[in-house]
Amino acid sequence: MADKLIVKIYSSPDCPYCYVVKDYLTQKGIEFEEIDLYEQLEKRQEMEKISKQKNIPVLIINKEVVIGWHKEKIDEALKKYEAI
Amino acid sequence: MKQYDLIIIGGGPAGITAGIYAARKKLKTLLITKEFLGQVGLSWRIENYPGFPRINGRDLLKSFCGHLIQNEVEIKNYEEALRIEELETGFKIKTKENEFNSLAIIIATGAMPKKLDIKNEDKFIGQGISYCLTCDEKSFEGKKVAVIGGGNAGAEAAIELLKFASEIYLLEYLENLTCDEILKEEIDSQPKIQVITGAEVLSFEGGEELKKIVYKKRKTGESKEIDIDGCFVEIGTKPNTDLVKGLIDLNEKGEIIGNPKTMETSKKGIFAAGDVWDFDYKQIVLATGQGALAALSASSYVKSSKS
Repeated sequence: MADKLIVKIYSSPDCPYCYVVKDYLTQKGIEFEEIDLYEQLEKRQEMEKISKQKNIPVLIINKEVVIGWHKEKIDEALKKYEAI
Repeated sequence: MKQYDLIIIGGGPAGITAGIYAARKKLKTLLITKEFLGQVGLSWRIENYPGFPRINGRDLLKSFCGHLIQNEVEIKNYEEALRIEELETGFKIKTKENEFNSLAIIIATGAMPKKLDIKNEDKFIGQGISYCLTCDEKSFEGKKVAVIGGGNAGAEAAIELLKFASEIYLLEYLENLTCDEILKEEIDSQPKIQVITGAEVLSFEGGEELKKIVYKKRKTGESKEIDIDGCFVEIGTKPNTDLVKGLIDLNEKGEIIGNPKTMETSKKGIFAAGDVWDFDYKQIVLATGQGALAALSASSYVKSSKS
């Protein structure tokens, strides 16, 4: 059986690629938790530690990390957990 | 297989405008796009699009999309056109998921930010280097940041960074900034922005993270360094024309060449508009104008093909 899907996105309100990723997930019917790095400054370190870099968006799909807007990589990770 | 009069490839200002015009001409139209974004969606401040004295790119794009969906245009979002094949009449477009036939095509695939292609550029992406100001500016709060490129995008980036960075260096390859005069004035009035012109950036240096930019003064050949924490590269764009390489004529920069009176390319039935087209002034208002022109020309072409 596939793991329970936990999806998180580290984003900011001015980040255009973040909106594209969020819209894509919504279109796929994937629920996600959004961590707004403008609102929650303290979460930036956590994001940098997980993704080993500083740029956003960073998408976490269970143990998979996708940096930036990459449809194929997102699909791959979602398929791995049988979410699509 | 679904047959269309017109397939528009691209979801930026040119493609969206072409969609609106094509729908009003009652063409059976499909718009395929990897995403609705384009260079406009990456702009943090737009002050030269009529009707919108100051707007950010995302809001302007949202407004364009809202207008598009009021028209009869079928949309395939998050789908990438991978191949165009010529048929006896019209063309076949293949995406990963589908195949579509169309009498005419408008290529409005836009452009992507250009990289410098210098030493350690890839190494420091995400470790200080970013190509998306609005995404990553906040991570440089209180830090020293460089912007490479003295055109409008670079100048606007430097001004936007005043909100966050402690010191800003604006580096330009030419001997003068090439941005609009109004931006030059704003930059000159900001003591936090240091302008360095005639600078050829040679490499990025640091350990895990970016620490320095090395550049050469082009006039003297003297090599110099600046200590920095971050860098935004704003040196223009590269056209997204891989899809049509070998099918239609391109210039040496990879931009589509053709007839600017009709936006028709070297291949009959294929039109193009926006940042993929061979013209110097990549502006939203010009992209929308070209999108309209391409759609009107495509409409005439489709009608004459059918008659």
